[in-house]
Parts: sequence; structure tokens; C-alpha cells
Amino acid sequence: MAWIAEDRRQEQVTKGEPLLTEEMKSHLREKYFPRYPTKRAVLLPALHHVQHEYGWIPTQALQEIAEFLELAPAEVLDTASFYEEYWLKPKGKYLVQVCRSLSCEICDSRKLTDHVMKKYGIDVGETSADGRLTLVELECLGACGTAPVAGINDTLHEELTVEKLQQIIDGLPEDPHDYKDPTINFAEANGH
Amino acid sequence: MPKITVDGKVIEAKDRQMVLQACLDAGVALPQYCYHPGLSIPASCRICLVEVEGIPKLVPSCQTPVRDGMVVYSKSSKAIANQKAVMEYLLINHPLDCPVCDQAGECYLQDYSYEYGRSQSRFEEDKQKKPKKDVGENILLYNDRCIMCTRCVRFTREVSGTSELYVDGRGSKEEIDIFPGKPLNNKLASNVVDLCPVGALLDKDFLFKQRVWLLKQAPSISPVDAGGENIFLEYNEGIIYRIKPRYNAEVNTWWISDDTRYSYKAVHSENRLTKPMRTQYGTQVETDYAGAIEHADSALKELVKTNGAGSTYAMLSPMMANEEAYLLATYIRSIDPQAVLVLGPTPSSGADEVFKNPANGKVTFTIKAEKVPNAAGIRRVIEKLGGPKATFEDFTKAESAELKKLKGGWIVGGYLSAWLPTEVPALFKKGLRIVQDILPTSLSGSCDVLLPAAAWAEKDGSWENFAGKIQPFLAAVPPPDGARREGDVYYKLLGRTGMYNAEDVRGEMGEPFAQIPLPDLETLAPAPEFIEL
Ligand code: SF4
Ligand code: FES
Repeated sequence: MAWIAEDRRQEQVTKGEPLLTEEMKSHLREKYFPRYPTKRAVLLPALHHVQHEYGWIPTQALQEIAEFLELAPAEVLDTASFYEEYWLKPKGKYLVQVCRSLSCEICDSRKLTDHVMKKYGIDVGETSADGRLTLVELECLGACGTAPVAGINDTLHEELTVEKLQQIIDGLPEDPHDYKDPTINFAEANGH
Repeated sequence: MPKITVDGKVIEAKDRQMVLQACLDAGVALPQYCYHPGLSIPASCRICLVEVEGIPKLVPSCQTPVRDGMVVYSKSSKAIANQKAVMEYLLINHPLDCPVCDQAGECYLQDYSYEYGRSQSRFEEDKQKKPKKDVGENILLYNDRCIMCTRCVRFTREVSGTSELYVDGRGSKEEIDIFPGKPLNNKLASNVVDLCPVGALLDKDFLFKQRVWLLKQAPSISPVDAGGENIFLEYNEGIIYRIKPRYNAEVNTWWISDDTRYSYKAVHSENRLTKPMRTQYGTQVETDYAGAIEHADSALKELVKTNGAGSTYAMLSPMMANEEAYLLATYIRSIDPQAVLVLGPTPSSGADEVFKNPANGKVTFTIKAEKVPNAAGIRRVIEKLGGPKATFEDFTKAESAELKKLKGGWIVGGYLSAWLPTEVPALFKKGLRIVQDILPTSLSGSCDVLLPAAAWAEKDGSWENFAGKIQPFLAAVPPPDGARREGDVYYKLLGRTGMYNAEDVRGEMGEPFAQIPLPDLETLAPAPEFIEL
């Protein structure tokens, strides 16, 4: 109720096994620390790293990142909540991101959204009951020439139709870490 | 020094000063929300935009440095249109619950709405409702009133250095918040309530207690440590409701510690001593004040008559005003020219608490370790009067021949919390003990004469802080029924007419006390040297 103050003071963060593992820390230390003058600057890569591992960034992990980078937990949350691409609540294994900007809209992107909504019984922003898909709409993905487009996790799919989108969804592997954009040579990109 | 013209008025600015600060210094009012002279400048609220000749777009006056010959318009049609627009946007989701808001009467939104806004809202849609949050031991956050100026966030990052507050989300959904389970409980935390230009951050202690326009202010000094923070006691009809910081560039700047802020509670404690007592046949009985004073006076004289000079002492409390200490010492020396003057206990927390801005390492605030306001002043008074003196440690041990001779004396407390040390001086247990105090102790329950005294907020005087700065303070409220100001008691004992007047006494005490000016209420507005870019 509006006149009751939420108690934000009580400890709500349950501590379990560390989510930011030693292995992840040393990865960040080796790969990113040398690139920047301050530890603070590694915040974005650290958030990405955790999100890539778990699909989202639990509060406990935010705290661990803060400790690791010598920041206040509130500063970490400040940054993490600023970017919509960081998920502070669990999401499905696959994030279906339908573009709703002008070119896609003209090329019927609405139909793609409607189809996913109907087929999986979810609204935009919601996750399917089996935890496999989360549907969002977003602004221009920078591929207007091949509209309508949608991103699934880190992969862009162009010139979509309802059927084509469904085919792609059906073909998604069980473990999202096995799902790689065929157009990117990951070995090369990582060595970069 | 650059000269700029603001709305046709020529004002002198300092080098590297921002237009807004130059205007404020010159007494030209410009609206501001996010700008605070003690914090960094984000220029995010946009209410302060002005037109500058030669620049096509409006510029934020808070973040635009002055340039010689600059011509600024804050009342041009473009500037006014911006002010109106900003006010309208800020009020779109504001609940307009002024009737139940503590900030009403000292709210920037109200003031600017009146001066720069429009009288009616054109917004017909539903307002966003944001939650109320309990974010700290003393602090509530009503997010729906917040205008996202981020002053509070910058304070916790730049002044207290503790970074508890942050901005959650962005755009119209953004909110101030704390990390779950990491409350805003630092020792400077409640300053965010003063900083908040609207009623979003609220002091639980003051919540719904008083309408602010009923409060009157008395300039005072913090009683909780040797820092000498400048404060206002805000009171109404004999009750203090809150303490607010009073700007002093050399001492506390804009901030005060939470210990200072809530120190007024001891003044209204239920345990205040209000019954003058004297011992009769070994037990304390209640007496009237005049009788108690007379009894003290004659007992002291009797003691000196039997035991000779050098048999009495006066324990001058570091909670006393310099003036009072001077009067009491003068009185006791008039009876016993060899009376020993002792500075009372000066509790310490061990080390100063230093707050720094983590970004540049600069010290922003210090809470002194010495937990009494006037040890330096009392030492100065004792020094000035000369004659026998002793430290409290020596007095407790009472080993020297001089101290072994002591048979009784006058003890002043006045501390805001329990002050008797664990090792109670033997002299507090025997001989003649005349006690002036505000809260009960084992001493006040067993002494020969008990004179209930006044707390600092109930009298005028001056204190010297750790740095040797002597600062006056004024009374806000009268002492409770049955208690008397120490100064009045000493006036009576010294046979003076009239009421205790701190200024007169300071004049009598000579330098450096005579020259202490009363706080000048006109020049209280912050005027920092310059704000760094
Ligand atoms: S709570 Fe107050 S100080 Fe903090 S951002 Fe909101 S309006 Fe500004
Ligand atoms: S006071 Fe200048 S932008 Fe806020």
C-alpha cells in the first residue's frame, strides 16, 4: 500500500556459494585489468561476464563484483540498473528481441511479436512457463535493409517471417552456451 | 576580477566562478535544484538555464564559468519559457501532497512554483506512483516527491564517502534507492535531509512533529564534541524540535554530524533535575532554590573559616560556557583565594573520525574525538585567572599536599550523558559537595547541595573549539521549572543585580573573550571561495 514504507534496510541478499568464482575473477583480472587505468572501469565487462554465465545478474553477484572491484554495492547497482541489457531479474535461456523501430514496423514486425506472444502465452517482457524464452521489443538493431529483424541472445536474424522465426526457435539447442552466431568466428574474435 | 551583467545589473565575480554562484554572492536570485555549493556540479535539473549574449542556446548558469563582459539574461522570454517548462515537467508526477509533507514551507518546489511556475497543471493523465522506502535508521525516502536532483547521491559519494545511495534505472522510471540491506546509516547521514530540496528525504525524528513556519531559530554550537559545529536550534513554545546546520566556512561548512543533530533530546529528557536539594541530618531533602543557594554559600564560607585558604575546589565542567566558568571561579576565589580550579572529565572516543571524498582524497568533514565542546575554553579561563589548579587525573588521585588539603567544593556537571568516571574521585564521596547538574548521577543523589542547572540550549554563552575558535551561542528555550541557569546563580552569589548577561561577562573577562561577535544572521548564506571545475 502506498502509505506503507518498504523496508529496504533489512538484509535481503542470501549468501550462498560465490557466484563470481575465482576462475571468473582471474579471467577478468588477466583480460581486462591491463586495459584500463582503474578497477572501476572493469565494471561493465564484469557485469557482462556474470550475465553470460548465469543469464542474469543476481544481487549476490552484484555484491561480489563490488567487493572485487573495490566499489560500493550501490554504485554497482547504479550502473547495472542504468543499462536495460543487464538483467537484474532471471530471464529465460533465450532472449527474443524483436525490433519495433520504423523499418521493421513497416515490414510487419508486429506479427512476429504477436506470434510469440500467442504461441507461448506471454506478454512482452515475460518469460515462457518452461523458462526457455523471454520476449522483449527493442529499438533499431541497425539492420533496416533486411527488416524485419530480431535478435536471439547475441545473434541477429534477418528478413524474418513468422514461420522462419518459429523454425529458428524450434532449432535452439538445450544449452544456450552452445548457441553461437554462425557468422562470427569466435576463436578469432576472442583472440582480438 | 571579471564583471558580468545579469538582467541589466553589473556584478563582480571571482575568477573561475560559475555564473550561478556569482549571482548568489551578489544577491541576485536564480533558481537551482541540483546545484549545491558543497557538491560537484552535474547541471542536470536545468531550472537554472539562462541566456547569454553570443550563445544561441540557453546555458546552465551553475556550470558556466564567468567571463569578463558576459551579458546574462535570466528573465528573457526564452529563459522564462524554460523555467516554466522545467517546473511543469517536475510537477507532472509530483503528488502535490504539501498538506501532509514536512518540507512544506521550506520546499524549493513550492517556492519556484510560486516564482517561476504556472498556477495550474495541464496534466490530465494518471500520475506515476513511486514507493516510500525506509532507507536508514533516521531517514525515510518518499520517492514520489523526489525530483532526481541527485544531491543526496552526490553527498554520500563526495562528502561522507560511503556511497549508500544510488540512482536506480533511468528516464521516467528512475528512483533513488539503497542497495538492499545496506542502509544509509553513516554518521553524517541525516545531512541528506537538509540537502533534499523537496520533501523526498525525511528525518524520522522530525516526521509530522511541527509545521516548519512555526519554528524559530536560535544560533548555537554543537554540544557533542570539540569541533564547534555551528547549528540552529529550531524551537517553538519552549520545545526544541530539530537542529539544523548553520553555515560556517571555517568550521563545519554546510554539514553537521548526526550526533550533533539529535543532541537536543537530552535537553527535553524526562530525567532532568528540577528539584533543588540540601542534606539535613544525613539525608537529602527538597528545598527552594534561593534557600539552596544560601545554604551552599554559607556552608562554603564556614568550611574556609574552619580549614583556611586552599581547602576548596571548583570543578569546572567542559560543558560550561566560558562566562559561567569565569563567574564561578571568581566567586569561589572571593571566599577562598587559594581555591583549586579543576577542569572536569573530558571523555574521548580515541580518534577523530575523518571523512574524505574518495575521488580526490580531500577531507570533507571531521568528527572530533574529544566529546565535550569547551575543554579548551575552560583551560583558557583557568589559565587566565591563575592561582592553584589541577587536572582531573591529579584531582582524582589527590596525592599532592595541595590536593590533600581539600575539604569540599563546587562541582558542575551539565554533560548530556553519564559523565562520572568509573574511578570516582574520593573527594566526590566526602566533604562538602555542592553540585550543579542537569541529569541525575550518583553524585547528585548524595551531595550536600544540589542545584538543578540549565542545558546549553537554555542559556547564552561561548565555547572554544579544538582550534581555538571562540564561538557564542544563544538560548533557544527556558530551563525546565525548578532549574536555574548557572549564570543567574553566580550573579546572585556574587551579589550582582539583574540577570546573567553573557555579553557583559565577556566584556569583563577581557581579551580574547571581549571581542567575540554575536552570530551575524545576515551573512549566513554560503559563499565559498570558488567551485572547482
Ligand atoms: S531524494 Fe531529494 S536530494 Fe535526493 S535526488 Fe530526490 S529530490 Fe534530490
Ligand atoms: S542548478 Fe543548474 S542545472 Fe541544476
